[in-house]
Amino acid sequence: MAALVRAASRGSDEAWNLLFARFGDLVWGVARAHGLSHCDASDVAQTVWLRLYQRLGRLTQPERVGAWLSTTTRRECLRLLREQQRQVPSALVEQLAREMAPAVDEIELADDPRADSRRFWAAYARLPAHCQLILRMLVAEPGSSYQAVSEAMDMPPGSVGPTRARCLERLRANLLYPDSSDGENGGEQATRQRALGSGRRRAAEEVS
Amino acid sequence: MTGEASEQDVAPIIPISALTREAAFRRFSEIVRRSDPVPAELREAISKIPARHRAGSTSGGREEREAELVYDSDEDGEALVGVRSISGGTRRLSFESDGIAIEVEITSGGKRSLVCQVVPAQPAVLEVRAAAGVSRRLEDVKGTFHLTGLRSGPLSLRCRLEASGAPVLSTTWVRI
Repeated sequence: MAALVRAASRGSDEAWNLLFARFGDLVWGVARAHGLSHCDASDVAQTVWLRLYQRLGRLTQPERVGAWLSTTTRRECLRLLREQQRQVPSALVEQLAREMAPAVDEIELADDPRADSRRFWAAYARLPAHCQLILRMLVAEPGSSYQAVSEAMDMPPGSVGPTRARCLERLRANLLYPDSSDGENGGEQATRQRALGSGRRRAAEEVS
Repeated sequence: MTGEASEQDVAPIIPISALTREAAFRRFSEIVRRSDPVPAELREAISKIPARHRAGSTSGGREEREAELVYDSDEDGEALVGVRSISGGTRRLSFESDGIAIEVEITSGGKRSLVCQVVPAQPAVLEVRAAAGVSRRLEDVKGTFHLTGLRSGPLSLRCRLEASGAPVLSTTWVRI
């Protein structure tokens, strides 16, 4: 990675494009996970990439360019949100929900990819903000160490794995119980209760 | 990477009640890539950054340095909750390099206006750079500039000082 950064700093367009191919999803995902609109997320992403280009030759740890990008993006998102004087919203999910297919019943949801997407986004929308961010980052960085995630979220690298597991468990719970009002706050006990309930629901679906 | 996968590329649907954590993550990953990819126009704009930088470089043989962002009133507002309302829609930024400061005040609300002062005051040429390239070029004997009608988006100011041998200073890119 450091070699790629150095090549880009010496003017290699190919190296620059490879850097973007490697981390473009990460920057975009972090911006969108903060609930920014397409327009705001694009502005933030362009600013971050322009700033990286400006600093290519001066990054103190070029091998950690992914962590630099994720941290810089998160800071810029938080600054924009402060500027707009609003809380971290779920605008992304609301927008996506509008773009997805109209509501269909449970069985169709399981078989139709578009409806399936809508259900996942709805479940994602009910996650706490830190879970939304960590999942979007990990989608963009599936094979990486957790360095970029831990630095952007200011958490120890050892906490990323357990946090990821808890967030995915909440995502599952929200998928299973889309109408549950405490989905985003449910702890282990609530998750267990939902799991018990899922058996009953499956049975009811099979009967119907 | 492109997020252009068709619905036929989606893994076979597993009933949600039977999803493991990892299966849920894989499915969510597919959905994110399919329904919220990096926009094509953003992809194109970022790929053009090196070419635009080369085309817009007007340092005229002088060394070009970054005047780094050392103060942002918006960042200051993070620690001092409630202070932002005092300054209203005005954001103050300070950039520094080699003993030269570029003080900037941006007034938001629709299109932005900007006041810029080179400190110490001296003759300077200022270029306003947006993502698409240089949008304006101004000259002032005291290094004081006032611009109106700026669009929101990435911004960097490139400042060429009249003093012999002075470097060309480009401010850190910020979003306004």
